[in-house]
Amino acid sequence: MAARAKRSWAASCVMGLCILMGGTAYGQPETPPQEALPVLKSLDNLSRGFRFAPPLTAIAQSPSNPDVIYVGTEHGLVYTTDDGGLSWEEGGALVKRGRFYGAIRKQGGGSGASLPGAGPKSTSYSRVSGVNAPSNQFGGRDPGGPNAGSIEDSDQFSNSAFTADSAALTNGELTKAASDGSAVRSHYNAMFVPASGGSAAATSGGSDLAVGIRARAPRLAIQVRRKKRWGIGTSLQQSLALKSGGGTAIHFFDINPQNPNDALVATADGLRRTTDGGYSWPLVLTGATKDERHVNHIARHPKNREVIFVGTSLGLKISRDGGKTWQPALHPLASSSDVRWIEFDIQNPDVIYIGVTFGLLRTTDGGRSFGLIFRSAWPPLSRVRAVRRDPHDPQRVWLATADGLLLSEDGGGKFERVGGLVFVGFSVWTLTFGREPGHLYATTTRDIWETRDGGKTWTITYFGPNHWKNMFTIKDQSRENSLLILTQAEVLRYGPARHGPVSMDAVHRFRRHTAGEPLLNEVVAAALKRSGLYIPQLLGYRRGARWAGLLPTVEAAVGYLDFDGDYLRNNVQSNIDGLSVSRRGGLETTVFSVFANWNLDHLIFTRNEAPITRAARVNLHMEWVVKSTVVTLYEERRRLLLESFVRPENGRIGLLRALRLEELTAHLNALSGDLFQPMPAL
Amino acid sequence: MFNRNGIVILVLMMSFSLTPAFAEDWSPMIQRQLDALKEEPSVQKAQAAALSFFNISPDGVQGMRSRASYKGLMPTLDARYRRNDTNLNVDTTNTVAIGPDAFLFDNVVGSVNEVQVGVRFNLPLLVFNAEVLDVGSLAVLQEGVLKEVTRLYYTRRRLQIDLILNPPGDPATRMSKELRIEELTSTLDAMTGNLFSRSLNRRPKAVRAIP
Repeated sequence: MAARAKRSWAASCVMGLCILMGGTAYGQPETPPQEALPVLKSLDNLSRGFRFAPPLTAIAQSPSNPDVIYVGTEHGLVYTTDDGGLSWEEGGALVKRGRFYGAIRKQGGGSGASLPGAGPKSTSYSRVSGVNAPSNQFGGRDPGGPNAGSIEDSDQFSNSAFTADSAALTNGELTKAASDGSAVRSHYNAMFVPASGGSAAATSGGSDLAVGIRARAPRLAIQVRRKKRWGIGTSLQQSLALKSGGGTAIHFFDINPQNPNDALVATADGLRRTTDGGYSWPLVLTGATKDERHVNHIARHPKNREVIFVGTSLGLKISRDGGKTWQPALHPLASSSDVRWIEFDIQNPDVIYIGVTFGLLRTTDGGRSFGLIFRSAWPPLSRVRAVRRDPHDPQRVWLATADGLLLSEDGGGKFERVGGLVFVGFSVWTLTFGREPGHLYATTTRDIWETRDGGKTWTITYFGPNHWKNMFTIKDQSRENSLLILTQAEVLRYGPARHGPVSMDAVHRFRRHTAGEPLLNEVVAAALKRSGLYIPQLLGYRRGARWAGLLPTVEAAVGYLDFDGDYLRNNVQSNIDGLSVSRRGGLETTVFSVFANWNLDHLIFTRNEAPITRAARVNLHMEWVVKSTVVTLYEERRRLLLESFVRPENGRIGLLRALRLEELTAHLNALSGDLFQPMPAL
Repeated sequence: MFNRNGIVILVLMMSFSLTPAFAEDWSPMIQRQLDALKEEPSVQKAQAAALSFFNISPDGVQGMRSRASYKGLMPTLDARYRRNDTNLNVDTTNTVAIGPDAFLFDNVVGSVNEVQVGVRFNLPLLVFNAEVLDVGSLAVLQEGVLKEVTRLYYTRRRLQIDLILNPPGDPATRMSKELRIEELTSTLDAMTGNLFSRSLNRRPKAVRAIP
C-alpha cells in the first residue's frame, strides 16, 4: 500500500519540478508550523528562458480567458499565448528608435502592403508595422490638424508604413509640429494620408513629396539648427526622434476583464493599447516630456471600466471614456509625483491609494484631492513598489517598498513593518493575495515569501534562481492556489502539484524512448567540445604552456654581399707619369647565421598556465553560457517529451507541441553535433 | 550474441521506432498546405546557412583553432636588399712646389649589393598559443546565431501553421499575420544569405501562393 502511494506521489511529480516545502517560519511570535504535512508543489516552466528575449519585465493573465497571457520585456517586445503557455507569439509594442536618414517619400506611393524596413523607419510598434489606430486622443491637446480625422476614419492597411512612422512622433510633439505652420502640416499630411487618398490629401497644399524639414519648414529648420547645430536636424523627424528617444521597457499590462484581446500596456514611452490580441499597439497616451511618457502603472475603476487611471513618472492621468481622452490629475501632489502603483478600494472606489517614490497618497473623492498618508524619513522605505488593499479586510493596506513590507490596520492611518527583519533591506516588488483571508505572497528580488496568518509569520515558498531576478508575481487564474512567477528570463507556473497519477505504462514508454538518447552530461560535453570550450581540454592545453619553455625561438638568416669598384688616378704633371693608375676590384661575401633563444624561465612558471588571463575569463563565461543553454534545452525537451507520452494531444495543440519538440531537438543537434534523432513535426 | 556496435544500432533503431510521430487526420486542403511547408528550407539548412553567412560554421571555427595551434611551424620571413653606390673624388694640390692648380685627380667608383633573408620560428607556439583559446570566443557568437535563427525559424513556422489550422476570420488579423510572416522571412533571409527567397523563387507558383 505504501509503495503504491509512493508511486502515485512520484507519478504526480513527473510533470514538473517538484518542490517539497517544509516551512521554516520567520516572523514575530513563535507560532506552530502552518501545516503539519509538507506541501507538495510543482513548478512548470512555461518559457525555459531561451524562447524569450530577456529581461522580462511584466506579465498579465486575462481574467476572462486564463489561457491568454501577455509578457513584456525590457526591449519593448510583447509575447502572447492563447493556449496557456504552450506556444508563444512574439510581437513588439515598441522598439528602440533608430536613426532616421531618409526623408523623401512619394505621397500615397506606399499603396499595397507595406513591408517593414521599406522606407524610413524610425520606429515600429506593431508586429506588422501598421493596422493601427491613431494616437490623437490626448485630451485637450488634439492638434485639430488635418490629420486628426483622416487616420481615425481609415483602417487601410496600405497606410501602415506611414502610420508606423507617425509613431515616432508623440502627440505633444505632433501638436507642436502642427502648430508651426502650414508647411509642417503638409509634411505630416503627406506622412499620414492613407494611400487610397483622403481628406488629408486635399489639405496638403498640393505637395507631392513629404520631405525633411529643410525644404518644407525652413523657419523651423533654422530654429532646429540653431539648437542642434548643423550636423543634426536636417530632418524634422530625426530631430524629434532624437529628442524624444524614450526607453522601450514595458512596465505593466491591464487586460480588459471582458475581452482578452483588448489590453493596455504601460511602457517607458507612452501608453499603448491592443484590440487584436497583441498584433498592433497603437499609442493612446503620450506626454510632452520623457517623464510624462514614462508610464508605470494602470488601474481600472472596479465598477466603471471606462474609468482608467494611469501613473506616469510625472503625474497621474485619468481617462473617463475608456482611454479615448486623458486628463492630468490637477492636484499638485498627484500631478508632479512619480507614480508607481494605483490601488482602488473595491468597496468604495472613490478611495484610491497612489504609491509614489516618496510615500503613499490617498484620495477619498475619486481623484480630485490627494493627501500624503505615509512618508518615511528613510528614503528607501518611502519608495513604494506596490500598494494592495486586502480583499478580505478593507482596513488592511499593504505597502511594498524598496526596503521591506509595511501594513496598515486602519485603512492607511498608520503603517508598521511586518515580517520582523525578513524584508528589511530587501525590495518587495509585488504582493499577491491567496484565496483565504490572511494568505499573501510577497515577491522579493530573489524569493517569494508566503504568509497564511495575515503577516505574522512568513515562510519562503519559492527560492529564486541565482542568476535571474524575480520581476513579477500574479495569481494564476487557471488554477487554485497557483502563481505565475515572472523572472528575468522565465515564466513559471508555481503551485500545488495538480497533475494526477499518470499511467506508468506511459512513463515506461518514455523511459524506453529516452534510454537510447544521450545523457545530459554527454550532450553538454559534446557541445562544449564542439565549441572548443571543454574545460578539461582547455586546462590540459594550459598545463602544456610551461613546456613551451623547452622550445626555442629560432632565428636564421642568410646574407649575400657583392662589392664592385673602380679606382682611377690621373696625374696631370707630365714629368711624374708613374702616378697615373687605374684599378678595378670586387668583393663577394655570404653570411649564414642562426640564433636560438630559450625562455627557460617558463619551465618554472608562465602566466599562460594559470587561468588568470582575459582569455581564460572569457572562456569560463562562454562555457557557462553554452552549458546553461544546453541544459535548458535538454530539460525542456525531456519535459515536453514526457508530456507527449503521458498526455498525448491531437489537433493544433499536438502539432504545436511536436513543432516545439522539433525545434528543441534541432537546436540541441546544432549545438552538440547531431546527437539526437530529428523529430519532424510535419 | 551482439557486439557493442550492434547493441547501439539496435537501441537507435528502437528509439527511432518509438519516436512519438505526430499523426493527425487533417482535411485534404489543410494537409496540402502543411505539406507545402515541407518544401521550404529545413531548419538544419537555415542553421548551416546562417553559420556560414557569419563565417562561424563549426568546421570553420575548428579549422581556425587547429591552424592557430600549428602556426608556430610557419616562420616569420624577413627579406632585405640593400644597394650602396659610392663615387669618391679627391683632387691633390701642391702649392709650394707646383702651384695652386691641382695636379693629381683620384676617383673611386663602386657599388655594394647586399641581399639578406632571415626566418624566425616561434616554436613555443607549437606547445601553447593563446590564440587557440581566443578562437573559443566565437562559441558565444555561434550559440547566439543558432539561437536566433532557430527561434526565428520556428516563430515563423508556428505562425504559418496557426494561419493554416486556425485561419483568422477578419482580414485585418489575417493580413497582420501574413505581414509578420513576411517580416520573419526577410529577417531570416538577412541572416542566411537569402536562403528563403531563393527557395521561394524556385518553387512553383501554386505552392508559393500558400503563406
